[in-house]
Amino acid sequence: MEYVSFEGLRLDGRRANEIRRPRHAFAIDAQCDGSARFELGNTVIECRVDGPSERKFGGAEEGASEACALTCSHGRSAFASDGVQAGRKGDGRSKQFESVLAKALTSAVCVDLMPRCEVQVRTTVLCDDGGARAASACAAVLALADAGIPLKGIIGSCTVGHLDGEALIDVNRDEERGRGPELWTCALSAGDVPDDDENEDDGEDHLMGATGNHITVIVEELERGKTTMETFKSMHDLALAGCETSARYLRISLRARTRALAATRALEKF
Amino acid sequence: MAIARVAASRETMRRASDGRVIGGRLARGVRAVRRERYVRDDVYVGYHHEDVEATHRGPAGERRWDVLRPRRGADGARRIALIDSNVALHQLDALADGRVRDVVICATVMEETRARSRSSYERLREMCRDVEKRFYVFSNEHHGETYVEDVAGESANDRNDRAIRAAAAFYRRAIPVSACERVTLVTNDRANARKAREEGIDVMNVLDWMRTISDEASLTDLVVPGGGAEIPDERESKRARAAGSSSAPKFDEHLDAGSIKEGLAKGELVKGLIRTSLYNPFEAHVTNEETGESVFLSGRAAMNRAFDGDSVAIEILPESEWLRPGSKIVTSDIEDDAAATTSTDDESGGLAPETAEETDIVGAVATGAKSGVVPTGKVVGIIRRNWRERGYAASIDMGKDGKGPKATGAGFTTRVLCVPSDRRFPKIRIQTRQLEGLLDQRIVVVVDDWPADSAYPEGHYVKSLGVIGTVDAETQALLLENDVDDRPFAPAVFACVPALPWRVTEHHLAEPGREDLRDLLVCSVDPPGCKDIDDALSARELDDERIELGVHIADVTSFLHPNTAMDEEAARRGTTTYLVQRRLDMLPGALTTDICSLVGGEERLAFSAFWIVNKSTMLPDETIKPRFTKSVIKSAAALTYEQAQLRIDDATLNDDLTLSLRRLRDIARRLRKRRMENGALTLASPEVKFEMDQQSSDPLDVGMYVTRETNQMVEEMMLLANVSTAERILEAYPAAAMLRRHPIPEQKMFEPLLKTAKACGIDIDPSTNRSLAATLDAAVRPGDSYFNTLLRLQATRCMSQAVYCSSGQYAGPERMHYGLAMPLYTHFTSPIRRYADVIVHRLLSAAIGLCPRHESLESSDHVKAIADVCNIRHRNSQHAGRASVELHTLVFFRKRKIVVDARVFKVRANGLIVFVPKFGIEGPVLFHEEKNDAVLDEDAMTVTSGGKTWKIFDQVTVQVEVEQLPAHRSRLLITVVPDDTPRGEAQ
Repeated sequence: MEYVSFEGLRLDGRRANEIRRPRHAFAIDAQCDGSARFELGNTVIECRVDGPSERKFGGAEEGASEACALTCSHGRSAFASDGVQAGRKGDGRSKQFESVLAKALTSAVCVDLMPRCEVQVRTTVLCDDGGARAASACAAVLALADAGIPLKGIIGSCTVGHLDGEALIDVNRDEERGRGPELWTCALSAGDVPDDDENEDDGEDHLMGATGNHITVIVEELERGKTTMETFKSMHDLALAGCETSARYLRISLRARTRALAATRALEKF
Repeated sequence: MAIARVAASRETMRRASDGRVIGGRLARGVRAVRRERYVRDDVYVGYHHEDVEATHRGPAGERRWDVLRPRRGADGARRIALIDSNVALHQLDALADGRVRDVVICATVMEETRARSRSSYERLREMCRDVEKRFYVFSNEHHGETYVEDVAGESANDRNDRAIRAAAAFYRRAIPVSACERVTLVTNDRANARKAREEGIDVMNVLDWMRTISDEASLTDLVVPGGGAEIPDERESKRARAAGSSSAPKFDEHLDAGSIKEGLAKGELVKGLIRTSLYNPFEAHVTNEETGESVFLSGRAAMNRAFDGDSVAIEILPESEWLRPGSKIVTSDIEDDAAATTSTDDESGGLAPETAEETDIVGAVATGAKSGVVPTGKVVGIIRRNWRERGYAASIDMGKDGKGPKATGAGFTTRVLCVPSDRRFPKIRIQTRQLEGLLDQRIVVVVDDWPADSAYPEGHYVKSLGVIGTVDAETQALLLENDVDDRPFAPAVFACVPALPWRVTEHHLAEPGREDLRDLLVCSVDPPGCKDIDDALSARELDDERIELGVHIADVTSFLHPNTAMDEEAARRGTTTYLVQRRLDMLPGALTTDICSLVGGEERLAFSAFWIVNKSTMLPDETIKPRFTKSVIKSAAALTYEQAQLRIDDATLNDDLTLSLRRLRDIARRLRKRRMENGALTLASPEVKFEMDQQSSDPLDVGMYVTRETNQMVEEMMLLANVSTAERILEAYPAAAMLRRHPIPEQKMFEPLLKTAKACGIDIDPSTNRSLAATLDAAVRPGDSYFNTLLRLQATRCMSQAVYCSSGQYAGPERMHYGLAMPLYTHFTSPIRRYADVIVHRLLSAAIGLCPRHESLESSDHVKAIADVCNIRHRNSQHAGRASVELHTLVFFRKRKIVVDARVFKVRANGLIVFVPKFGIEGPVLFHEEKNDAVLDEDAMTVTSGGKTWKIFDQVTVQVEVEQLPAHRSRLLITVVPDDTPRGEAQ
């Protein structure tokens, strides 16, 4: 199997450093405090957020943290992938992901502003075409924002694979089957996007190029990982750039959403 | 970083392989797989001309060199050609020609080629990598203007043709006429051509296209007529005429794939690889893939167009039609086909085969059954062709009269037959416009097709190697036959070699884990004239009780790093090939003979192994593990075996070097003794050595290789080093160590040996290697010192070859080396000339913690894959080496006629097979055909003819000469002469 053609195009026509087309929708579920759907190509993730609400359990005992507690639960629909189920709800892999994601999101949430509260984040994989973890993190960020939870910055997330001797960003399902090492990264991007970036027609073009924002790596998880240092380095560099791209996309989406909301409420300027 | 620009999503339906219902409501066994396809507008078209729009020159950062540079052809126009899948699959030889350039290959074509023939794909890929060829692969499936949607009801082929036409139309739009006058779609498919013409695309067939490049026959001969697609009418009629007026099929039609599958499932058919007999091209056998049983095929009709090595489906005939494989030697092809011309083929005398794989298997089968008849079958279908893409060495068939085919005049197309050098293959029909020039040439032909109505396969000419019979041309031919690469190394490989003159520097000495052993007294012992010295020895006295024994191997892996062009090339070559007159290196010469070679008086990098030897036993101390380290050594002297032997034997010499040589010899003796006691076999193989004329490089004399005790000394040291290395790497990597294993032969393989021994009244017990070694040692005839060697030669042939493997493939006891009687063995001592040793070096340096284990050596499967390639390369290289000796033997005898002693090696119903020890030749002696009164007694191993009886291993006097055959061919002719004929050169 050849994952990167001689001409530098991947199986689905992308170049090594191109992520799949992202799409999103806010407030998909009126039942909860905040919700969002995030798609990366054919991977579809839904996220629901409840909170901040009063903490029901824990925290009563002495010495417990006053700060807001964020918990995650991760599930997959039965039809998410065509072949073998890659992890069910409650299995080890999924538990691990839940705790890591919770850790990552906690670092982006202004937990001190919501003492003795809890926030529940539920992510569901509707369709898994690769990169479900990265897409889940992005969906969670959108849902948190939709729920009105104060954030310190935007978490961007992406997966990077390594096949045919090349680091490939945002590997899809076909590429995941190549069994190469895979790195999932979440990074907190604290910077801002210049104001003139909101033209939605060609917003994607503005996503390109470095921003010089301050990036903090929060989570890095290497799977099937037996790589050399050089391989890891190239994957890491690409992953950072990928996180920045996705954070930028999320930031623009959020701003557009806010503007739309402001418009419906007839506010001049939020 | 970017988000992919334009996206389209395509849903593909795929049949689930296991037939389960997945994904709900779809038909049984079918599931939907949704795949995304990003269709872009920034794909580089491969042409960086200023008139080409910027978007077609690709985005920034993409490789932008000028791939296509169309030049004016014979018709005065600059041309870019797009080829279709059939051209890519069938016209590779034409495409490979250096004159064919500026070709665009659509990704669709690449994909289809890959699906249909992996090897064609690899070859095409290779051409695309060649900067000189200027072949560009255009990702048409990912370009917005060339991407075509599937249309319901359209076949995959039609869809692909449409995609290629769309690409051709796009190229015409994208590349203005000012940059290139013609953009041509090249196809032999007339339906496709018609549609393209309707769409206004410039179309040509392959032959016309080649003519625009050059009208020389050397190019147009490469074009395969028809080429797997529709054949133009004119050609069709020509072929019909050539095949004879009757178009009656000469062979049964093959079954289609579906019927074969069904037949196999029902058990009516048998699947296996077909192997043509080395002694008779009209006999073959197929080994049933499942049961391992052998089925006999007799005659070309039963073989039904199968080539040696094809995977075939056969039908077993009713028992009444079973035949007895011939125990006769067949020396001429008597074609059963009336339309065919007959010719004499060569059963030339040749070198004695060495192992079981090379001996006549059909013969072995015949001896198994009492009545002589064996299961017989016929080929009904071909599952996978094994036609060599690199072609077959052949010569033009000169016919019975030796006059050769009539040329129709220069420039006209003639259809002729070619006779492959390897007699296992049938003649191949080719068509050429340059017959005159080819008559005396050794040529390469490729087989394209074998229709049922043709007596011979159809092929095409590829190139000529030179005049038949010349050493150069025949050497080229034998390299081709054995798939040995003799091309010079690519510049990228040379770029990996450090600049000369190379010296050990402080930097090397400072490397972690490298010891400075320049003060250690080290020397090497090799054959005379050896340039690639990869091992050196040392034996230092530590105190009154202990000696430190050292083996120092060239540290090739310090220069040969994984994932470099040089490493890839070395892995591909696998081994250095030694021909009589030259050496085909695995690594570039600068490394082989200078930087890595442990020459005397120079500082070199080495990988050293040390053992502590007790003086009392003169054996390595079992309680102390051998120590491995990288080092810098300075060899005191590079000795030859002879020089070393003279030093050891000269009692007046008592210098340090001689003393350490004697120590080495003493240790080697003890090691050898211990090994023999463990049951190691001393096997015989007739190695011959040529003395060459320096100017003409003609062989002057030939003789068996002389071995001295110093040979054995070096051999023992290498064995010790190899065994210790095997233990060390296996300890570190139990599942993925590269080992060398010699399987225990099955008892039935010893049958020929046992029969011979029985006929000679000798008892051989092959149950274990120890018993075999002991009984072989005991098998001596007083007054006949060579008898034992002959028996050992036969014993050797009962065994298969040792092979490389990964330790993960076999459980403990199966990893053993039977011949050496070692539970573990590997190759560590010749990294300059064997790639397996390079791998072992890498594993060992990882095992001792000098570097991390490279990812390509992490799993057993990876190591196995490397081992498999090494095995194939090793075997090919050995075959090529032997063929080269055979060729030089022939050249040697061309000027001489020599009477020598020989031994009967096999008895046959119509002759003897004799072995000439002096020259290592084995060949047939035929009784007179007319007085066919020979009686063969298979139990006593005697044959009686003309009142004279020969028994196996009998002494005979023979005359060896070269017999000239028609069509510039020659073979060794061995005839029995009276015993009192004076030995030596005959008049």
